Amino acid sequence: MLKDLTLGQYYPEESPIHRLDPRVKLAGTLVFIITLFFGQSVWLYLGAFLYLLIVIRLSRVPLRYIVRGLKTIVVLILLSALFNLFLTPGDILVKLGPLTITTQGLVTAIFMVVRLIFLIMGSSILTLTTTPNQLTDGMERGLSWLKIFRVPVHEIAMMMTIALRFIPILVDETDKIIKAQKARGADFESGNIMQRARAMIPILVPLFISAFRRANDLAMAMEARCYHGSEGRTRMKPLVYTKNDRLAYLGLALYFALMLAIFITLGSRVI
Amino acid sequence: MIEIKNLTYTYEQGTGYEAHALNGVSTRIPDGQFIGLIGHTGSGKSTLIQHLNGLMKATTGDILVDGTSIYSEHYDMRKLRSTVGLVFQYPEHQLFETTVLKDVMFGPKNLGLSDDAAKERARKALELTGLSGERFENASPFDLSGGQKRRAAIAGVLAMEPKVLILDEPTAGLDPRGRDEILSLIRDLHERRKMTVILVSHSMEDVAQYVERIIVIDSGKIRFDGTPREVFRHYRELEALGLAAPQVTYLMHDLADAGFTVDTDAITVDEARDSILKSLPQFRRTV
Repeated sequence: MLKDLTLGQYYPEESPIHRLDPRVKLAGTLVFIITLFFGQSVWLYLGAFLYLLIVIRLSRVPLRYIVRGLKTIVVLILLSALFNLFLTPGDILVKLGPLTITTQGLVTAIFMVVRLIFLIMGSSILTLTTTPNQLTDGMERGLSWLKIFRVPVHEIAMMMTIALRFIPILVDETDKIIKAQKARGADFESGNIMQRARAMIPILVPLFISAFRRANDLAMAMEARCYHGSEGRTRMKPLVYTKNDRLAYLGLALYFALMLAIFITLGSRVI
Repeated sequence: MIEIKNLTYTYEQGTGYEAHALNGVSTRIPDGQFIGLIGHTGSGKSTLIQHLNGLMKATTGDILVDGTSIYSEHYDMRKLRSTVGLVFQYPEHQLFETTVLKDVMFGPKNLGLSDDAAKERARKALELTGLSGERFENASPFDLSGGQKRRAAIAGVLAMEPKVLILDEPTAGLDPRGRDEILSLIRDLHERRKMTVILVSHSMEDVAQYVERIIVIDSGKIRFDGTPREVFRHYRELEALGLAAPQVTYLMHDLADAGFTVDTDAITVDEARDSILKSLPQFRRTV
């Protein structure tokens, strides 16, 4: 029952986007998010939309798969839309009893919804086309300059890899524990909030214990193979930029320049 | 009595990944029988037992417990779970309370029993599993040894006083002594308490000397069903399923092939020894 957690899970496919260096994809996602916050202009969003469309097409991930990821944040989107719609001061458009809708509110709400949807779609493209390992690899390499400031980049990346690796294992484990306690007559579905919270204890305690046990085993296994952190560590698949990666960077720079140009010429105008 | 009627369970129904974990399983489990359910990993044995106490719901088919379908409306699932006790693999991983006694009381309390009644049942269950006494009752379950933890977890299911006890690989990961302790505890429960016991295992050796009936499951279907003797006669077919008959079966068959008159149906080391001793004069002549 917990297996339905598929928000942004890797979608295996042989596409140009999948083959890109993870550093390029990380940079691309970052640039995309930055441009989304340039301002409220139809042209800016049109640009972002086109960019997103091209990337999705190139990635060959079915649109339906990406849209499905939006389901989990529908509530968030609706809430922020409603707040913006009713609570933005400005020229009154409609008056519904104590609630007023202003022109500014309407515009902000629409842009907010579009921005959130683009944000989620843009970042799920990253996780849909990049395996967790590639992702942390890319982060480690892409952020290696932070080592100058004594930031333990490798260690952080390793922690992320392990954390991601453990998610499905712990989900499985949780499933098993829930079943075992149900077999002992435990009831997780009825009762008020307090009772339900208390019903979680028989799941959480064994889950924590098992997580610690696994962590211990893993640490032992790593030490048995002489793991000692980043120093002098080589990689089996070093990240090397190819022609396609350079092309992607070029495209990304063009997109950024275009968006910046629109932003500067239009200023704060909507259209 | 449990009646399983044409049970099918399909994973990922309606998608391209459709797979049958169970494919038309039908059998009867009369009261008081000691059954070994054998199959290799992924054969569907764990799926089958989870159906028997309602943790999984069949795609098609039906299960009747004492004549009533567990899929009928308003069926009391909690009562089913106290009638059919299921001990999962590595049950010690589900311990969570601060003391052994409290942990064992978890099941009975879920059935709605009062603290005192639950305590009484827990004490009884701990006695059955050989963990009685102040020393164990008030100990943290996490301070027990591996074998003791497992017995405490089994006590947690026994305290619900089930009529049918299902154990999934109860000896996995235990040392020989712990294994013998658990298996003799189970035999005791069956012989003295007249419990119906289903022992799930992939080891024929383990179950051969204990059970009166063996069900072999493979790819979600029942392949063999009979007394250990009957089932082990198919030892070559069992091998094809990735299972093996007990070592002595092979020995006796090899001896028979070499021209000795020994009982090829012997399934335990003791029986084999007796049979060989009986035909000893024959051996002497050959040597």
